[in-house]
Parts: sequence; structure tokens; C-alpha cells
Amino acid sequence: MDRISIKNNRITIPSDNRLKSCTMADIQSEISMWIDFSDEEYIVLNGNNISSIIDKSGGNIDFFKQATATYQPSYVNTINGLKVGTFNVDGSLGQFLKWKGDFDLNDNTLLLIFKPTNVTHDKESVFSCDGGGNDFQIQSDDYDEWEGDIHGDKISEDDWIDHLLMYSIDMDSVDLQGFRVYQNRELMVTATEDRLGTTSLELMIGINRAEVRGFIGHICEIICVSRQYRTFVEHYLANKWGVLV
Amino acid sequence: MTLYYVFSTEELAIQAEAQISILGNAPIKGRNAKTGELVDIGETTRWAIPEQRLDGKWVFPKVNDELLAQYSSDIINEFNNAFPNTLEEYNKTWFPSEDE
Repeated sequence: MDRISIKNNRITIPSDNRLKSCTMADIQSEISMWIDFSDEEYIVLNGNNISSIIDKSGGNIDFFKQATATYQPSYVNTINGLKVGTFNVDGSLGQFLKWKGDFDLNDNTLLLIFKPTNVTHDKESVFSCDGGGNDFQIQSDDYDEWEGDIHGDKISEDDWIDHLLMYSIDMDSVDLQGFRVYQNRELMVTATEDRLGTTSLELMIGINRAEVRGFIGHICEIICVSRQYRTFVEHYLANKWGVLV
Repeated sequence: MTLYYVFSTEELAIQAEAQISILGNAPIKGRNAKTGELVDIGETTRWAIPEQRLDGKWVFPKVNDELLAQYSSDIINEFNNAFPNTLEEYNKTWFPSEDE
């Protein structure tokens, strides 16, 4: 039987695979968090700014929120014809959305689509988790980096700034595994710490876990799904947002 | 360019921010982006959180022009008299470089 394969960084879904006719609605029960900035039905606004975004998955995360007006991301930009959340591009500081509660990311895959437009500090995080010592964050590594090694190559700033990036990470109680990032090729990425807790977590969109390093750019969609659907969701996100995988 | 109110003391900054939140009718109910209907989640409870600069002064972002336009010059003058401030463009050297 044919299997889903990745060759030359392109995903191939065989014609007889059941995933071909699968939709996101079909795997809803496998999704534990689904933050979709393009779906206005799940966005709550204060003027042109986002005060809350509701989790579409129906899981135990209800909504991410920001009650302070100057910390709210804006909701005026689009990518690929779809609305996105915009964080800190106007020189504002610390725009982010936060949820706190008990949540188990382990044994799932976390997928993110976002577009950095600038970096002014290290540790500017697009998504972070503070769990009392069991933490991680997806962040800029240095002033000039959302970068890493790929088969010995370095990805230059020109290749990521103002480019859509798709990250997918297998979450584990011990390590972050199988990190892969698509822009127009696969690369490694910086993630600090390597463990995840499950209780009293603070999940933050658009800032690092110390709430001092705001991500600069646009965030499109964040999904946490059972690992077996990783490739399917990567394909869904890539098609929707226009990322070449 | 992000302009900030700059105050000499924390007390002034806190009082000024509280006044702005009141003038802005906080808490502000959120509206669903698709339907425009008021919803029970996503309330905005305040304008800003004052922060202390390295020089000891207290700052928070200036009210946007859209909100400011709703108020007469008398109210704005009253605010500036009650809470003396200067307006300065944000500079990242204002704050300590905090590492994780």
C-alpha cells in the first residue's frame, strides 16, 4: 500500500489513502487546540484589535484573551486573502494573547503558520508555554535569526523575513522531536527548554514566556493535533495559506 | 512611531491610566468580528499598564487619535493639568534588556 511520503520536501498523498477525502471536520476529535485567525466567527474585537480568540477545537481551551487595550494585536491585515493577527509591527510592545489552565500537549503535534516581519531582540516568541519549569517557546534565536542549519546550509535573513513559515513540532514529555519548518525548504529551528508540563500552563501567542519579548509580524493559525495527522494538517495549512511544502 | 505619556511618578501614571480607562468607557465589551454582536467574552478592562523606565520615570502608550477625537479640548486640558506629562517617542533603550 502506498504511504504518505515526503520527497524533495513535497508531500505526496497517495490516491487510495483515506486521508485524501478526509477534511478537517472529519478529524475534529483529534484536534486539541485550533486557533484560526482567519475565521472571524471565532474572533472577538475591541475596535480593530483582538481582545479574544476562541479555540475552534471544542477542547478544554476556551479562548486566549488580552484585556489591556495597548497589548491587543491588530486585526486589519490579510495574507493569501485571509485575515491574520498582527503583533507589534507598529513599534508597539508586548502585544499578545494568553490562556491559562491545564492542558496536555504531549504526544501531539503542534503546527504554526506565521510571518515574521522584523526582529529586534533575541527570544521574541511566536508561541510559548510557561509551565513552572516545564516550558518551551518558539522564538528568534538572535537579532538576525529565525534560522538554523539545514543539511549544512544556513538560511539567511532574506529567506525568512516577510516569508510565511510553517512550523510543525512533535511534542513529547521529554523532548521536542521532529522539528520541521517549511518556508520553501526544511530547516531546523531554535526552541528553548525541552519539556512540557500539563498543569497550570500559561500558553502565550505572540510573546515569550516572561512576557517581555513580543513577536513582530503576523500569525495565521495554530493547531495541536494527534501525531498521526501531522502530515495531513501540514498539507491543509500549506494549501490554505500558500506555503510550499 | 509610538508616542508615550511620560510621568514623573508611578502614582501619577497609575491615576492617569485609570482616568483614560474611564474616559474610554472600560470595561469595553467585545464584538464578534463576523457578526458585530456584543459577546460576553473578551472584555477590555483597561487602556495600558504603566511601566518604569531606566531613568525612573513612568510611561504608557498615548491614547490613539480615534479615541482622543471623542473628547473636547477642555477635557484633554483638564487631563494634562491633573496629570502633568510629556509625550516622547518610544525608544527601546528605555527599559532594561531582560533575558529569560
